[in-house]
Amino acid sequence: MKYGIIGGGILGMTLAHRLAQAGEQVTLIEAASQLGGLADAWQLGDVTWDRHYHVTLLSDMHWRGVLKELGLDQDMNWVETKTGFYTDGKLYSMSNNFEFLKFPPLGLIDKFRLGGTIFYASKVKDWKALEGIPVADWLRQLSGPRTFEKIWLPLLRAKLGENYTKTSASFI
Amino acid sequence: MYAARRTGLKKEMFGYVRGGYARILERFTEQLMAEGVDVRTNQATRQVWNLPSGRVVVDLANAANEEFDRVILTTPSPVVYKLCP
Repeated sequence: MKYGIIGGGILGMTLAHRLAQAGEQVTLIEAASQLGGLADAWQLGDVTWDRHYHVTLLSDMHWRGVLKELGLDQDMNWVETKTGFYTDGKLYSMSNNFEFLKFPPLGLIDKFRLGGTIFYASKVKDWKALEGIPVADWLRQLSGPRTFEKIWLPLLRAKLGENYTKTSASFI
Repeated sequence: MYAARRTGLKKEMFGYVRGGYARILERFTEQLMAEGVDVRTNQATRQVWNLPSGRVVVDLANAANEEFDRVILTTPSPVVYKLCP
């Protein structure tokens, strides 16, 4: 069969690769001057840099499979991720439970509510119900206003910019 | 998001290829060409529609229309909406 794929981002490229492997005839159509879409790189002075932030984790088996097929898996550098919070003019590490319990900007009740929110979020199975609720309202209600301002809001802003106001709770 | 980050491992590892996505994309593009994929860059799509036969026409901005048995759109949904009115 003759396939046309419109959009040469990682999805279009991976589809083209899989269809070609299955022996299909594939045309990949991209409006930009090179393939890549949102995984595109750009030139900043003499440095070539990824245009957007992407993360590959050990659990990303499908993407790691593609990298292996491209012969790039050997060139993967794995580093441990650490989490830190910059708040009230100070940088606090928050990479383990102990540091979480010590984290001064939040009181014990705030921490309990934050932990409860994360636990509750991990148990939600029906994402559809969350589609109609703005993510900020949902997190503020579950975690309380202080935790929302200190933890969730900076995270939402870092990830989504001001688009967080238009994002539903299913994002979490 | 939560599920994607759960590995069952104590430590979360972040991986990157030296050279970044520029290197991955270059290699991936080479691979597609080696597999015989017809890669057309600088090729904007104006519209996509079905023929009564079930085949699909792609109207390209600066090339002749093309017919395919199947067409897959991987663009964001607002773009899909514009291409397939």
